Amino acid sequence: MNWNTYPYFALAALACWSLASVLAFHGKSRKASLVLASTGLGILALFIGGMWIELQRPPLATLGETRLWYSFFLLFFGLLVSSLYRYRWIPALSTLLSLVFSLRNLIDPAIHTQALQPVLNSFWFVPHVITYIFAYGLLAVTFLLSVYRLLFPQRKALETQAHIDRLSGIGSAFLLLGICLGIVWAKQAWGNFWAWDPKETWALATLLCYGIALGLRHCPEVPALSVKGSLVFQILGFLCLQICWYGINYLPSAQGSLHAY
Amino acid sequence: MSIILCIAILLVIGLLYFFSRKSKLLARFCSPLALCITAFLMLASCIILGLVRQDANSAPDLLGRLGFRSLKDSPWFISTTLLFLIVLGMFTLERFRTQKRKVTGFLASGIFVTVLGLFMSNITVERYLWSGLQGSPKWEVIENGTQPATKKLPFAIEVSDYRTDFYPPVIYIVESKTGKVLPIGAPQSLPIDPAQCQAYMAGEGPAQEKQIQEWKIKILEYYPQAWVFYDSGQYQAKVSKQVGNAPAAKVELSSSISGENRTTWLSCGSDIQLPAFLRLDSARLIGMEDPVPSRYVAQLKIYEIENEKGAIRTDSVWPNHPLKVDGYAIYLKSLKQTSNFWDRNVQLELVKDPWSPCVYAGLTLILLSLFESLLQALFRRKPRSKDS
Repeated sequence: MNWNTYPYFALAALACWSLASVLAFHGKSRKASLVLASTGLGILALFIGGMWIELQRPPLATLGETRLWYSFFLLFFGLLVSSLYRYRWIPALSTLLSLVFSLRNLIDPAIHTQALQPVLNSFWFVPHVITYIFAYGLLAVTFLLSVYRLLFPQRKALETQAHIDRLSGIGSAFLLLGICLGIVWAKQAWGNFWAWDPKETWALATLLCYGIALGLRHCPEVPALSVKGSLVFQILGFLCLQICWYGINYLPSAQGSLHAY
Repeated sequence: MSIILCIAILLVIGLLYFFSRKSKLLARFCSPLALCITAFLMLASCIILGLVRQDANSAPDLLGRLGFRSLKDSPWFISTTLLFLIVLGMFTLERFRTQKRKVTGFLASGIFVTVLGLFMSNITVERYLWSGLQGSPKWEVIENGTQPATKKLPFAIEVSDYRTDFYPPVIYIVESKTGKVLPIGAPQSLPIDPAQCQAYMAGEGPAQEKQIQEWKIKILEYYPQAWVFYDSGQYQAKVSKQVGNAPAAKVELSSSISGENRTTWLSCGSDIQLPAFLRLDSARLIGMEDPVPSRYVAQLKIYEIENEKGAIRTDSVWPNHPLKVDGYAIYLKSLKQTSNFWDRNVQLELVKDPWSPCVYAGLTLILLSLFESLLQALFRRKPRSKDS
């Protein structure tokens, strides 16, 4: 399995998910929606597994490959959150977000060889990247919920806020874990725990945004900041996350970055 | 000196926390809101650092005059980091006082210990450059900094061997004008499998084949190191183990449109020989990609003096595998590319970081508390939405 066969898998997975999203809006078709969504997820998982075998290395080395994992985790958390908390619109929105990232891979696939840079040949590579992408997927769902909460502040306010708090708490924990693993790896690879490399800086900015968002929830003395302020930082955190992940490639500050492979 | 600084920071935190019990103003510094505000100040610094290229020596412009190009050394950055550290310390102490039974208090303390460790590590870390010829022991290193100075180590280092391994090369068809790999939009390539080529050459297996555009490419022979030359109107290759020679593959090309068959040697070339490629038509070439390094290793001999007797220790360094000697971590700094095969100069970096145990302790606390938080989050009762 490689990028030449990717369109078939991507289209099949997205077709399953689109259908599952439509069915999710009909209360009676919940089981069918769940089966279709799981099938779509399985197809994507099969492709990632096949590619791992074909490349003889974890498919995590290029931006295109991380987009693949992101689509997977986004759909996975979409499925998990919608089945646990019964948000009917979550599958549709996570499919839409996933479609954007899959389309990017479909339109502009890079050359993908077996080559893995020597510095990436480390025990920390897989846990560090997977933890990050896992957090990215989770925080994307949090972002959707935060936008929903800001647009419709009266609709299921308390429940939605509780879900945002819980999901962003877990997402931020994984983000922090990813940074911790990165710190250990950086020491092993470059002799520095923290070098204020642009990628590291944006990762810290993302973590600080989510930290502030969570911290503000414990500030009942300022009610406006506790709710709206927290939601604004959730959204700002998601924007910083996008910059940290791929937006950084377009910034002048990233020239000579240690994280440019 | 660094220990005095660390004690001073801890003392300031302790004193401020002590007086916060008596002063309402200082008590506010222990609150989540104060932590959020100082984190916001850090966030502002991070955004500037992330957007503006840090280069104090660049041509002076508005950002440079504002101090944004050397933010890391600015009083603003150091003071916001210190303020964040102090407020984080006070917040941690307050959490321990008010929530004694909650393990989650360790998350704040873990973050505090890590940030303190990173702060101290960045201030006190010593970095030295060892640059020497292969086979020559050397005791001296050059200190990395604004004023480089030579320092004598308590041990000598000799690079006895240096080796770079490469991934097998890749064959592809490119657009001759732009060099873009074809087909544009869905580029394809044929990564050479040395084992399969070896088996085919020994008559023990099928040849490696791939269809790219209308051309069916079949690899007839492959040598990881060969001398490629042009003779009698075509490329020829001979096996040669001489350092600097490039990989070469003999390929048979068959066009499914014209039925044309061609055979040639392809090579990516090196700095002692030109690349060998074949022009398929006026717009396309078939060639071999430059080999990509997979691993580089330097074998070291460390000459130490123990109890007035000499001792030689042999070990290797490669990326992600530093060597620890006498409190120093030795890193392999440079990667030798094809162009400097004859350059016998190797660079190592020596790092002495007395604060790394503090960072590791903080990280351990974070990991333990995250694990505990994760368990709490997973087994908490889930609310259900009836949203429609």
